[in-house]
Amino acid sequence: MHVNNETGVIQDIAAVGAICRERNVLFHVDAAQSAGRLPINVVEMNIDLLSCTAHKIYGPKGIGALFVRRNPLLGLEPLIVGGGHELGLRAGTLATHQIVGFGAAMELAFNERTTDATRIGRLRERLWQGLQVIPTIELNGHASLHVSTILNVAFHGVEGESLLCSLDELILSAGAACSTGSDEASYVLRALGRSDQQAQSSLRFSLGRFTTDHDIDIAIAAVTREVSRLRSLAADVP
Amino acid sequence: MNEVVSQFEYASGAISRFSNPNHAGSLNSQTDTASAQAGSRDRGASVRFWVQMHNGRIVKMRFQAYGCPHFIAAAQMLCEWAVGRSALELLQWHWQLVQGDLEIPAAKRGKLLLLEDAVRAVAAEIDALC
Repeated sequence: MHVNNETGVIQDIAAVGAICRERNVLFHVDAAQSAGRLPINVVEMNIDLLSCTAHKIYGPKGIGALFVRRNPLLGLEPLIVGGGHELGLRAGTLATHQIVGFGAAMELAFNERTTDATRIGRLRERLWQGLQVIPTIELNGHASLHVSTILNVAFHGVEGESLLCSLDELILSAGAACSTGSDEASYVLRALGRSDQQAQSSLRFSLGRFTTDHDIDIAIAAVTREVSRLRSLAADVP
Repeated sequence: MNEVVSQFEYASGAISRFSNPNHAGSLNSQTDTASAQAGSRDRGASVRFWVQMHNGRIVKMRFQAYGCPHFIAAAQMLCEWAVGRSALELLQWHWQLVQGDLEIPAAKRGKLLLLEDAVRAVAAEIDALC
């Protein structure tokens, strides 16, 4: 995973790729969070396979792409058989409109990459600085090796679902959006050393191309107010 | 912000009590006041009740709670129900009394047993006042 989808931390893919190449191990990179946002050079990073998705860059939902290194051949076996489409790797008529939409979204993302990263990075920093008026919070992730679009924060002493429910003016997540419906603590945050309770008291803020300063101010005010309310509601319970 | 979360649906009775729990708080320790607690944060839910008695009836009941919105709403609803009742009547409280208004999902009903534990504990404390 090039960029962790819960914490936004950027992994050193080039270093991993070098180790894999040295030991003759195939290297697949999940670039769902990084494609169109970070520079990726599949040759220099020794990447054999790379997958990405359109909806993370404002493209259509339901379309993704898999880069497959051409030489030497990897010998992939198709999961869907019955036709010779996509070089025999996936049978079925191509969804041309999805492919075109994905291509256009990627082109836009690539062209706007620097501008977006600078502007969204400033908003993320504004959010993080603003939230720090709240006592006993912690960043889940890395202080500098992160993308601009994700901020994950642990609000100690607050029950996660109650915090989410209180923040109805915001749309945010307690973990990975693809894991919602489960009230289990995030395995990513637990792997970082957070307890179940701390992991469940964490919120992931996702920022994007259309996030504004006003959105950030609303988020800071709402989170500050509700964390204080919920902590006071549980002040004397062990 | 661009990710949508909807883990549970909340009934209006649950949301209103969770958002405006007017029985939230505590009472100063006095000769006519009892308090008891059940659960723990480590287990995901904890609650403490304070009750003030007068002529054998509950005249004030307050709670503090750590837990999900349904748990907090149930604690609030329990307090609404209890005011004006005796300790003996308080012991009759059971979680099904809040189910109709709060529409608590089956997966969460186990936590409501903590409220029953706390009610029993506080009823015992009321008896100790006499």
